[in-house]
Amino acid sequence: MNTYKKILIPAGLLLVLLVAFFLAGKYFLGRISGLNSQITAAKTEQIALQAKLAILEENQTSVDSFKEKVVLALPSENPVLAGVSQIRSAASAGGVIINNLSGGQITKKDDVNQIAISFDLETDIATAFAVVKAISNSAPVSTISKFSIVSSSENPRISVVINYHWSALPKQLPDITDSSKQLTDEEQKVLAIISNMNFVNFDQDIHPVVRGDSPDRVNPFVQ
Amino acid sequence: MATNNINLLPSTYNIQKGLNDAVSIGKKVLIGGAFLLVFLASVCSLAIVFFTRQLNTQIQRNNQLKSGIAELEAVEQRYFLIKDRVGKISKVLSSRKLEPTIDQLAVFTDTLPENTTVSSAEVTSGTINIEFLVTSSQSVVQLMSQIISNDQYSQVSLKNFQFNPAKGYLISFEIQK
Repeated sequence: MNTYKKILIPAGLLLVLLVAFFLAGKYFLGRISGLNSQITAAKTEQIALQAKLAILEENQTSVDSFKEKVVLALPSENPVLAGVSQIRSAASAGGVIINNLSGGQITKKDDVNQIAISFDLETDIATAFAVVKAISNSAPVSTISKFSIVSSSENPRISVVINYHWSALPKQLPDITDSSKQLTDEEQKVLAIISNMNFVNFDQDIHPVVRGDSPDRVNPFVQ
Repeated sequence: MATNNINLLPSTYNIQKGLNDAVSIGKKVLIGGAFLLVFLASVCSLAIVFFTRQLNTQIQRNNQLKSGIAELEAVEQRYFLIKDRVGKISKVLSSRKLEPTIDQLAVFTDTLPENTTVSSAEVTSGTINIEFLVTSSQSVVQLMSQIISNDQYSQVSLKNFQFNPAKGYLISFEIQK
């Protein structure tokens, strides 16, 4: 009996030690590996945040010069008035008469809506090309879906269908930890195109009359 | 009848002694193992303290960056708006199919031979259907050679060739970019 005792007690303690090793190993390794993965995630987040902060600091001044232009180029609401204004001003600059100006259907593709405006230009072909080019180079951004020339008399009739586009503004910012990307070369090219566009300036020629401040006019009823 | 313990093993082989040795080794292993366990647990605890501090420093650094970004929220809004608009404008601009063809047609009609006018034209994506009215046969030759020598078009098909003594030549082409 004593002999068994002599063997069983150390064997039992050895077993307890092995179990303690197993449990401690599981606990410590789990904890260390958990901390390690948290540190790795925090470091990845730091890289994304640093990149985002650098982009925002770098673009702090340039965003101000583009924010209005991009919204005028692609407004949040139907830009039919601005579009018609651009068509009229381009035609008037070329001394061209516009006929049959009418709005068409509204269609939607990939979050971008478009409205078709059709019109006829009565002028020589070279002037019509210049007018169409001027319209294409103006904001709001447009696409031409029809262009035809019919010459029956002296002045040919040029029929054009032009589509003006608009899209709703984004409603919320992405998460603060979401990585931001620098503007790509393609996006820079688009910004350059937008910068060179002609923009509608509705209030340029408006001179509001202030009551009591109008110049003296000659009374036509007094001889 | 009295029992006698008879040991047939050689006197040098003592089972009790072997057992005592094994137990003694076992005790040493136990003590060594216990020390090793305590040592490893201490090392791991120190590692946990070190990693926790590192994580806290990292979190603090990230919070500083987040507050820096939050201060520039107005810039972020504008930047995000510009990105959104530019992405969509880029799609619209890339859907322009007629514009390059119209530009080509403008250049082409600008350099027409004398006595030649465009009587009708229709531009669709990549294709120009155009009809010319030519009042002199010399201009017909010039017009033909001008169209043939133009390397901007992949295919030019002569669709119609008419002669009217009162008007002149009516020539139609289908030109593909």
